[in-house]
Formats: sequence, structure tokens, C-alpha cells
Amino acid sequence: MSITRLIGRRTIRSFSHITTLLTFASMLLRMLYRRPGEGRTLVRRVALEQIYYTAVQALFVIIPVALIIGSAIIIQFSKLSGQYDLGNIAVILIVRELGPAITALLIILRSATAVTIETGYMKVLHEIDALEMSGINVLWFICIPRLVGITTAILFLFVVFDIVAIIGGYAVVWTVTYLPVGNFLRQIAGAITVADIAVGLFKAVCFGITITVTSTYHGLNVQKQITEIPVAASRAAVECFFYCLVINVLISALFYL
Amino acid sequence: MKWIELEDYVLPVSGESPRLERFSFSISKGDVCWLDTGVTEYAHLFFKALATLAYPLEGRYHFVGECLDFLKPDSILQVKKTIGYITTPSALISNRSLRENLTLMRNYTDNDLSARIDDETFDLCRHFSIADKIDLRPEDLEQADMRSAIVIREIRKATRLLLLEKPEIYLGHAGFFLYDWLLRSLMDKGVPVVFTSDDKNFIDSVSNRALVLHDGRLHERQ
Repeated sequence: MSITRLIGRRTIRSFSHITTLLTFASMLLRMLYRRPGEGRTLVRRVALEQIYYTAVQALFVIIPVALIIGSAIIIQFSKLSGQYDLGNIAVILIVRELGPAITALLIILRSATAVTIETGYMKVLHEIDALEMSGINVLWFICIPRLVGITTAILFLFVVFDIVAIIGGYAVVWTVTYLPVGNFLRQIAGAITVADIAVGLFKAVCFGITITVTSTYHGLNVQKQITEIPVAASRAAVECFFYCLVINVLISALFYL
Repeated sequence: MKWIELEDYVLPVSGESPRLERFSFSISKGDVCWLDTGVTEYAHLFFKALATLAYPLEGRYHFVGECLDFLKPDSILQVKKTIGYITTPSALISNRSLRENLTLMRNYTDNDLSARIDDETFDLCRHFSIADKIDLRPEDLEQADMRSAIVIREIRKATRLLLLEKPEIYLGHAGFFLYDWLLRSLMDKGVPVVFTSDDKNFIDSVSNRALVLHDGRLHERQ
């Protein structure tokens, strides 16, 4: 097979895959908008469980990560900038870019792979069939709670990450180093705008939808073999991360260029 | 009146799995069909077609006279929840207790989170000796207990059709007596049944129709 044909075939396959994911996303969003009457209470409970697993349990991971990244950035840029632009740099790096991206990465590592594996197992062990045979809509019962749970969790963790990285990072640097970061918090307050927070939150929502759609799609797409599950989990994680990076760049370009 | 009718049905080929050639099949109240097939995969595929778990490449599915639209999953779900599906692939939901598994359908339909099992279901749990294991998850149960729970769940909802795979061995010899009694009581009520079995006595005593499914071709034995 010639290299051109190979590239062409891969491109077509990728576009087809992205179109399928977009169709799946639109099905989920339509269902979320429609909110069928049956199963609402159960779906709400599963969504709350998902928020607990994805947001509350992830706090023990995101807080140290935010502290480490926040202090590292403040240390590096306090030397480099001589304090003048430290607030601006912190806002640009942490609130606009790293906050949503690192939060998404942690959610992908902790929850997206778990969701793919869980739904993959449910598919292989015929539990999805069992749900359907009980008259339960799988998209409504399995995917929507994860969509709501993961998106809410990313929003919450994004805010936590920003606060811990900026304030915690500042506290760490102020406590353990002699670097001159005296005006840092005032500079942050002057640099941050409502648009920065709104764009960060918008990114978090987009990441939540992307991660849930990609991970549940790969889980539900597992067919018969249990050996398909690790492959699906790996593909889901890589795709989630790649799509989130692309979306991050697109949103940044849209709002800040 | 035909309760379920599959007309000019063709089931898709997927990889190495078997396919069913174009066939038509109907079942009415009181029909008890024995499915004679040498290969389990064919039986599974046929059961999946009847349970609307496998969508056809061509053909129509009539449910109580109404043609189903497979592009409308909600209407298909209404059909699924009236069909009892007791086969080897039938499963319990593993991250929920036995009690939650047995009440899941009612909780979903009625938007009710109470895990109260109705008296009739609980009596069945007692008869199948799983009443004291009701709050355990499937991973903590023996296979026979899991299958007993599946039988109870499916029998309690089966009003239009019951699909059974080898009932004589599904619960083992110990559980067959009770299972057999339950099946016969449903058959007496006129619930149509399609089943596979190797037990000649059982076949002769319950079936009034015989289907042959060999090499993907389905026909009725006269």
C-alpha cells in the first residue's frame, strides 16, 4: 500500500471516528435536555455517586499537584520577571491554561479510564443487555450521570486547582524561600478578569463533555472479548487528552487572540 | 392473535459469529416452542432476535400487531421489559446488591428509590434459598444463587414471552424442580415460551411446537 493511500485511509477513518463521537455527544446532550421522566431519581443518585468518586475523592490528588505546580511556577517566574509581571504570568499560566488542562489530565487518569473499563466490563459481561431487558435506557442510566458527574467535578476541581495553585503556591514560596513575592496576591487581584474565570469554566465544561463522551463511547464499543477492555481504556485516555488539548488551544485562540 | 411476529428477518454477519438466513416466525398466546439446534450460538442469536437485543439487517418485528421501529430505542425498551430472557449470557448488575438488582426495574420505572421487595418476589427468594443473601453483591454469591436471582427477576416481568436456555441444567438438578414448577405455572397462564433443552421428558411434556435451527436456517417441524 502506498504511503499516500495509507495517509488518506487513516484520515478518512479519523474523520469518521470524530463524526461518530460528535453524533454520540449530540445524542447525550439531547437526552440531557429532554430529561426522560423514567429513572430520574435513580439517574440523580448515580450522578451524585459519580461526583463523589470524581470530585471529592480526587481532592487528595489535585491539592498536592496544584501546590507543587503553583509553587514551581511562582519560584521560576519570580526570578525571571523580577516580580513585575508575576501576577499576570500566574493568571495566564494557571487560570487560563494549566488549571483546566491539568484538571482534565487528572480526571482522565483517574476517572475516564475507570469509566471506560467499567462500561467495557458491563458490555462483555452482558450487564448492558440485562439493563436493556429491564426496560432501562442505557444512555440515560449509564452515560448521563457520568456526563453530569464528570463535568461538575471538573468545574469544581478547576476552581480548587486555581485557588490552591495561586494561594497555596504563594504560601509555600513565602514560607520556605526568601524570594521577593510580597505584592503577588495584589498583582493577581489586579490581573485577573471575569473573562479569565468565565473562559476557564467554559473550558472545564467542554472538557467534561469531551471526556465523558469519549470514555463511555469506547467502553460501550467493546464487543465480546475481555482483552478488548485495556485497549479501549488506553485509546480512550489518549483520545481524551488529545481532544482536550485541541479544545484548549481553540478556546484560547477564540477568546484571547 | 400473533403476539410476536418476525417477518423476512435477516440477522447481520459480524466477524466469525453465525448468521441466520432469511426467516419468518410468529408466536401466539399458549405456544410453547422447543428450539432444536446443535450449535448454542445459533440459539443465542435467535433468542437475541426475539428479545430485540440483535437488530435485523432486513425484516420487520411485529409486537402485538404493531411494527417496531428500531430507530426509536424507547419503544423497543417497552417491548424488552415484557420479555423474560433466561439464557447463559443473562447477567446481574455487578455493582448492585441482589435486592437492588431485583428492584432496579421498578425503581427506574416508578422513580422510587426504596429497596422494598414485594411479597411475591420475596417468597420466590425464600423458595430458591437466596432470601438471606439478598443484601450481598453478585461477586459474593455462588453461580446457582445468581442464576436463581436472574430466574426470579425475569419470571416476575415476563408477560409476553419467555426465552429459556436449557432449563434442566440452568439451576442444576437441585433447582430444576422449583424452576420447572414455576415455568409450568406461567405456561398454564398462556405465556408463550421458546426454549432449548436436551431433556426429552421435559420437551415432550411442555412443548406444542418444534423449531429446527440448523446451519442458520430456521424451519418448523410438523
